[in-house]
Amino acid sequence: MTENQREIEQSLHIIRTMVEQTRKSSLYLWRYLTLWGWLIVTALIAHHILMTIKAFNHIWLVWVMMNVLGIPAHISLVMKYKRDHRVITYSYRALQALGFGAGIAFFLVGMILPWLKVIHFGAIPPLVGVLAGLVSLVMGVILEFNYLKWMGLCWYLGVMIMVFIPWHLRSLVMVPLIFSGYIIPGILLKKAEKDGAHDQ
Amino acid sequence: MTNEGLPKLDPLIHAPIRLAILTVLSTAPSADFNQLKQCTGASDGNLSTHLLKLEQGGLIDVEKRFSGKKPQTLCRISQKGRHDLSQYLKELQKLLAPLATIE
Repeated sequence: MTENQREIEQSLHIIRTMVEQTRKSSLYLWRYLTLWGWLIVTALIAHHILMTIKAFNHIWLVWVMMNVLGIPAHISLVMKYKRDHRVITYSYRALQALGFGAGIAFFLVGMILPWLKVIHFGAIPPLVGVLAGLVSLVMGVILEFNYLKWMGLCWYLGVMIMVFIPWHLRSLVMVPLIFSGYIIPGILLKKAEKDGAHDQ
Repeated sequence: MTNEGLPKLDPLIHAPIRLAILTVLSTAPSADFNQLKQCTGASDGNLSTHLLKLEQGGLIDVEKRFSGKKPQTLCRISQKGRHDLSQYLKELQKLLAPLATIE
């Protein structure tokens, strides 16, 4: 190998390594997906149990508790990212903005609009499903993660299935969707971060 | 293999640490000193020297400010830096083409 070839190889190696390092910043996302995935699944099951025992007056507490636990934990993960001196890349910022917007949208659809009686409680799961599908699709495009792109479409399919299910059982349809749309991609992205690889 | 007709790589960018810095800064709106140090693995002194060279060459903008009570050095790739890095990558591609045919 000539000196010229060695230098070119070295430059390419540096570029590849730095790009991969900064790409890893987006894989940090698995922590948020895992946190909210488990919180939402737990809340959905608790919600269904309370509905079954007809404790309707207290169902809203489940979702308040979810946010009381989830929001500080989420903020703590954001602070940890900064403490680890990770570069805030364009794609990480885009994902942050998407997550922030989605959080507000879910809060509005899940709590505020039903409380104000703008929408019926039975409309919450399909509306949340539509939002989740959009978020999943866009996230999949930013991360170049095909699994999330396909999950986006699965969310839309799930929404159509919910339409034909009695409204009080719709939250149960959400459980496998949250598992597939949050917890499983969380596991896959965690593995990708560890391996330094990335699914395309 | 002759080097005639082959482009010369910009020496300001071609140094390993400086190329690493510019590559990282091209993926983010900005990065501070500690973030660049973590990515490049350079020592404090080494990184400072290369950041100064890039700033003097107009390829990056450096802002010194306080984050709370802590001093912070924030670096951004400049328009010239993006342009020159892009040119560097094109020159690298041109250099790669003859090497590919030799094999």
